[in-house]
Amino acid sequence: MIYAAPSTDRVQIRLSFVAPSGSGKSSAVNCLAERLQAIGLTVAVLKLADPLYRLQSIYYDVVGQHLDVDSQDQILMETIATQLRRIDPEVLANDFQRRLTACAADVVLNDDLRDDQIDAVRLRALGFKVVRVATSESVRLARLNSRNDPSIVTDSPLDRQVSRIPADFVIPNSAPGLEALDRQIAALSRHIIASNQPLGAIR
Amino acid sequence: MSDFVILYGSFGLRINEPGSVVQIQPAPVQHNNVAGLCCDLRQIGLTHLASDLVPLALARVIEPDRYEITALAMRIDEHRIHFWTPVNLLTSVDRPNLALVLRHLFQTHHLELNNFECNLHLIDPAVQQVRAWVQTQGRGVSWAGLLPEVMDAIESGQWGLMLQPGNEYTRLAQDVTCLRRLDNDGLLTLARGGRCKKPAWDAPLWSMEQFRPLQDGGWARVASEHLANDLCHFDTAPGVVAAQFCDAPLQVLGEMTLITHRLALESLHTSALLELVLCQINGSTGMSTLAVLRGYAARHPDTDTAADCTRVAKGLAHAFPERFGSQALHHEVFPRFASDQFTGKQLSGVL
Repeated sequence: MIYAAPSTDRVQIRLSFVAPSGSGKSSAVNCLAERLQAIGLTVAVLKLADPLYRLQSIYYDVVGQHLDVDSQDQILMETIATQLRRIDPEVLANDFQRRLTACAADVVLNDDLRDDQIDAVRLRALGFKVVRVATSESVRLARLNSRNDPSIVTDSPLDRQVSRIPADFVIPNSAPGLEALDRQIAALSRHIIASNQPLGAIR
Repeated sequence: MSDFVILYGSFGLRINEPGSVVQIQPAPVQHNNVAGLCCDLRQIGLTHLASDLVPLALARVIEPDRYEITALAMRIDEHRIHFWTPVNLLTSVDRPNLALVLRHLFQTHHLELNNFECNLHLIDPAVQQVRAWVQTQGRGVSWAGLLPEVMDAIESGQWGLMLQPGNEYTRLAQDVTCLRRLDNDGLLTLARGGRCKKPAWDAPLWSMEQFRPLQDGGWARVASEHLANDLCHFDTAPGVVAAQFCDAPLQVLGEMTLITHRLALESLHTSALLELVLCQINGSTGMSTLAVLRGYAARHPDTDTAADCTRVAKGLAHAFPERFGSQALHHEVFPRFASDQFTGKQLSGVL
């Protein structure tokens, strides 16, 4: 059990959840975080898109409209991401790595990896294992439409990029409610705790 | 001189129509205490089949003009005829009644004789007789060169086997993704395509097999199915397809290219159906070969396939010591092979 007695040279668990919008990545991350915290591990959720949320907030401030912290104006965020990558393709990966280096949590979770060419390669190099959340298309669209986001993109080219990211684990999430998802996450959590490999990450 | 004869007559007798037995000739072989017999038609001078001169049955001559019918013709192909003995067949009959009795016997056993592809007693995968041979990295070579020799040895009849007519040999090349179920430690394999007929030429189709670990360290195949609906487009990742169908969290172990040569066999001693599957596996750690001999079905219930498997395994080891020299018994060998491959464990030649 490598997590029984955390020490300075312990291995940090790093997992990135990938799926098209509306698949339930954030719900899965929350479920897993709760389970890991319940056994005494510290968990941090780091988002690649953190700079995009900050910039989105500035746009809405300028316009004078209120936007909830976690809400996504997906059209705006994709546009900002595209323009940032035009200036520096690795901007989001570099920003993420800086925050990761400063993070001392036992477990780092990420739920917004979408770029297969640069960000996925960087996260893999940083020791992240990829968990794909599998949801049927009809369920995903229904969930997406029930959210309160100011705008949604149902057929984003980024979703096609997501499908090209190789996964180490897959969890299904087409059933309604959180109970079924929690059952899947419980099995994943047990595996993470029980195995030194293949979740060994770098520190 | 054989005291067995072949009865020839009208094809109509096989399908409950009037007909006659027109010829009785000595059989080139004995038919003692075995479930089946395979004859070369050319050996009995029959190079052209006519509807009124079809080999119908094997019989033992009890006394002049009195016979005991020991086997009925099941399948005839270009050069071979397969005689088979259904349960409770043995019937003594006088020459004048041969046609009547044969017509009755064919009618009684018509399901076993005419629906021979599906009227089988499948053996529970958890108790199937399996022999396996593994050759690991560096020793693996293609099976292609050896196949004709193996098939010739089977055709010679020395191991009491025949190739199943019409299903003698199939070759399949697939990219197989192997996954582990995190909820019960089972193993899944998934491959695009399959042997099932698709509703449309461009319809997505996947083949999935599930295995569960047994307490003795072996594996049992618990499901083998084709997946074809809107959850499994061709461009969907294999892990996503599998997770949605089995509704379980999965670990993706890896992908391997599997080239499979399958010989479908039938025991002439017990009528057990066996398969010899020769696999060439190209994985991330190189090429390996895996051979599996499995008794999977029988024409009679309660058939014990162990003796058949042992006899064939010994025959293979004797004829091809380099490839079949040592073997081990396992319920299912592929899951363990796959697990060891992907966890980097070195196989030692024998599982």
